[in-house]
Amino acid sequence: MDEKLVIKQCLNGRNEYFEPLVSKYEQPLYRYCLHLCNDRNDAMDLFQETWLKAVSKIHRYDDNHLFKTWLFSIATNEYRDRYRRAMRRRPYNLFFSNADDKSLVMNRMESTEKQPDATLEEKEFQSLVKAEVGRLKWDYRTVVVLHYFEEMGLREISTVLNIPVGTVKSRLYYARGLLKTRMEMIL
Amino acid sequence: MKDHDDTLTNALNAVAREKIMVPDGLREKTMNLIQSPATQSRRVFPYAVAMVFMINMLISIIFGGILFLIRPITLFEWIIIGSVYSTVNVFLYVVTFINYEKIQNMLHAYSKGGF
Repeated sequence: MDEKLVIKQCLNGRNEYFEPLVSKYEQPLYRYCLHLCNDRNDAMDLFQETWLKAVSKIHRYDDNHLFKTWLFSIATNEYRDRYRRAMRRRPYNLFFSNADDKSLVMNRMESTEKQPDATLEEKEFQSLVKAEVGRLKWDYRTVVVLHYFEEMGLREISTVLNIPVGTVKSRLYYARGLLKTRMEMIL
Repeated sequence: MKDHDDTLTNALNAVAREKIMVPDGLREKTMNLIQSPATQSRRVFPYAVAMVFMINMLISIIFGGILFLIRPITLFEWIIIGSVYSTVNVFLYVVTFINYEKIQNMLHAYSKGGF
């Protein structure tokens, strides 16, 4: 698939041409959404909203950047807006919501199913780490998810989040520190 | 301390390796949403508003200029002018919505360095 050609056709207002793009980026984008939201329904909503935004803003896409980077930046902005709205509605605490408890159980179940050779302790620990990442504030969470789960480099993350590389580094350092402290408290 | 660091990195890497299945039908549902008329109008709306706003401004300047130069106008004339103005506005909105693809391409070509 020639991605540039497909995007050119999308620019002509033919929305059906988005299908190859949706198909190509379905897996990485959904995974990113799930890691951010920690809830399947929220992840599906975020996934669809990201594509709708991408369709309406396709003329703003700069082909000097990767399409994936642009798509992830839309998802991140949408997630940030949702997170802020949720925080305004539930200012007392987002960390111990039902969704988080549910996702913790879901994560544990998924880990048990998909990695039969890992030991129980390792799986438990991974689930805890995942849950703790889900409890980080959105700006630290996005950096951790992009760096560790999506395996993006610092420069690419800075493009996705539209922040300087130095800020990415400091957020990553701080987020790691937070995770380590929480892990030490648990272990 | 170093042990904790390694354990955390290993756990994060292990989470990254986990296989996540995309829910069945998500792509189809997304494509249906993308192709729905609501999405099309959402796409054209900012252009339509911007275009009509610009044309309105132009018409107002020309009209205002002419009226200022001629003479003070009566209430009846104001009503006639208002009706024509509203009709032109509705016409512009309809034309812009119908031709949104052309307008979008035109603006896109302009943003990429001229027509």
